[in-house]
Amino acid sequence: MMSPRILFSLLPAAAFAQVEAPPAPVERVHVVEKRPFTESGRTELTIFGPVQINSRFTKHAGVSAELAYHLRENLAVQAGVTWFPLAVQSGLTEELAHKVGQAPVASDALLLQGDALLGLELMPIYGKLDIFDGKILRLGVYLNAGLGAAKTRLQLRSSDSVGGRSFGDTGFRPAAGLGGGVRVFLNDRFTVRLELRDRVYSSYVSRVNGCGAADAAEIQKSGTSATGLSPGCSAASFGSNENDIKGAAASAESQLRSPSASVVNNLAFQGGLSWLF
Amino acid sequence: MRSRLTSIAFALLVAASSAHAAEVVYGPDGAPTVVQRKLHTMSSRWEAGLTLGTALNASLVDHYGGLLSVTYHPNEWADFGVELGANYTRVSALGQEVRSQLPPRANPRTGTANSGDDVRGADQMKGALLAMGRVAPIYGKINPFGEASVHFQAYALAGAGVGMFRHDSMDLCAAPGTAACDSFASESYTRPVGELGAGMRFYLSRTISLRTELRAFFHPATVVRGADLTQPGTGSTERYLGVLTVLGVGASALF
Repeated sequence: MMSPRILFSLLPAAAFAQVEAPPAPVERVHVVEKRPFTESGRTELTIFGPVQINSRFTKHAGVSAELAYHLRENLAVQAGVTWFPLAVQSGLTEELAHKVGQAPVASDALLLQGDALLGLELMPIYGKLDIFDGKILRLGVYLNAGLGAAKTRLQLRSSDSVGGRSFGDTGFRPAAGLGGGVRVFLNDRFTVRLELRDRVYSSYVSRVNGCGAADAAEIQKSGTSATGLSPGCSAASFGSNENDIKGAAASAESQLRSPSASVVNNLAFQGGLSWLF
Repeated sequence: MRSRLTSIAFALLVAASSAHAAEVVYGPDGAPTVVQRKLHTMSSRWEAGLTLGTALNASLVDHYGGLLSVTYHPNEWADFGVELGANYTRVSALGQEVRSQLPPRANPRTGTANSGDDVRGADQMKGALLAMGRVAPIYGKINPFGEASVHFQAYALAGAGVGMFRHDSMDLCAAPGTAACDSFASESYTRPVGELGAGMRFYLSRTISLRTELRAFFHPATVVRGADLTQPGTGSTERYLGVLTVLGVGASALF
C-alpha cells in the first residue's frame, strides 16, 4: 500500500502532465434554433391604416385589408384592397390656389380613392428582438410587389368653398404596389406589421365625370341646359344646383385644358395587425 | 432558480474542461448550451454622432444639413445629451416656380393695390441647439446575409432648444411699387424649437453604429395676412405651429 505522502507528491506531476497536453482545436458549434411556430401553409389576414407621407399636392389616409397565403416560411401570395376616405388636395395646394392663384397640373393632383392589388411577398430576413430586456419576439423583414387597378378622382372645389369640397370622377387606372416592412410575431396567431408602401399609378387625365375639356366649357357656359355633350357626359354629375354645376365645370375645364400625364407615387406608411389561421 | 442552474452549468463546464478541453457541452435536452445575451452593451458609455438629413415636408424650401450630437448612456435603454444642427437652405424649384407666376401687385386697369397673404411653410431652419433625450426599448438582431447577424436598437427621442430661422416670402416683395418683384421680403429670427423622432441603430461593431431616423421639429411660426402688395411691411401677422420633418442617416461612435 502506497503511503499518503507519496500520493500527494504525485499530484503536481499529474497536474503538470495535464497542462502540457497539446491544445485542443477550437470547435465551432452551429446551432439552428427551431422556430416555435411556422407561417408556412397558413393564411394571414391583415388590417392596415395607411397614411401618405409624400403629401406635396395631395393627402391620403385610409384603411386597407390584405389576405395572404404563405406558400413557404418566406414566400406568400397576397391580395389586398385599400380605401382612402381621406383623399383630398393638400393644404399647400389649396393655399397656392387662394393666395397666389396657382394650381398643380391635374396629373400631379390626381387623388387615389382606392386600389386592389394582387402580388407576392418575400421575407428573406428573419430575426428577433426584445423589449426592455423582457420577452423575446420573432420578426421578419419582407418585401412585396403587386399589380392591379386604382380608382381615381380630381378635386374640383376647395375645402373653404360654400358647400365644401367637391370631386370629379376620373375613372380607373392601372396601378402597382411596392413595399417593404417588418412583421413582429406577438405569438403564433397575431403579428404587428409596419410597412412603407409605394402605390404607383398612371395619372393621364383627359376626362372628368366622363366629360372632356370642350364638354366642361359648355357646361360652365350653359349649366344644365348644355347641349352637344359627349356620350357619357352629364352636367348633373358636377353638382346639385346650377351654381355648383357651373363652378365645378369651370374647375374641370381649367384642369383639362392642358392635358397632363404623369406617374404618381403615393408613398404611405402603414401600421397593421395580422391574424394567422 | 436561474442562478442555481447557472451554478450547475458552470460546475459542469469546469469539470468537463478539466477532463477533456475540446468536449462539447450538452444541456439536459441534448442541445449544445447556448447563452443568449446582448452583444453590444450601452451602459455608462458616451456617444458622439453625426446625422445628415433632408427635409421631407418643406415643398417650398430645400433643407440639407447635419446634426452633431454628444450623449451619455446611464443605462442600457436611455441616453441624453446635446445636439447642434446646421442646414444649408434655399427656396426650392417649386418655390421659384410659384414666384415666377405671381398675380400682379396692382390692378392693371385702375392701378389700385392688390392685397395678399404670405404662403405658409416657407420657413428655413438654418441651425438649432437642442437638449435631447432618447429611449431605446427595443433591441434585436436580424440575419440578412447567411450566418452574419446584425444587431439593432430601435429608439424614440424628444428634445427642446432654440432654432435660428430665415423666412423668405414667396409672394411679398421687399421694395414698394407695382412692378414685378426683384427681391422678396425676408427676415431672420430665433425661436424655441421642440423635436420628436424615432429611429433605428444598426451596430457595425461595439464602437461604431449606423443610424437612420425621422425627426419632426416644431416651432412657433408666423405668416403675414392681408398685406398691401405694393407696400412692404403692411398687413397683420397670424401665428401657427411650423413643422419640419427631416429624414436622417448617420453614424455614431460609442466610447
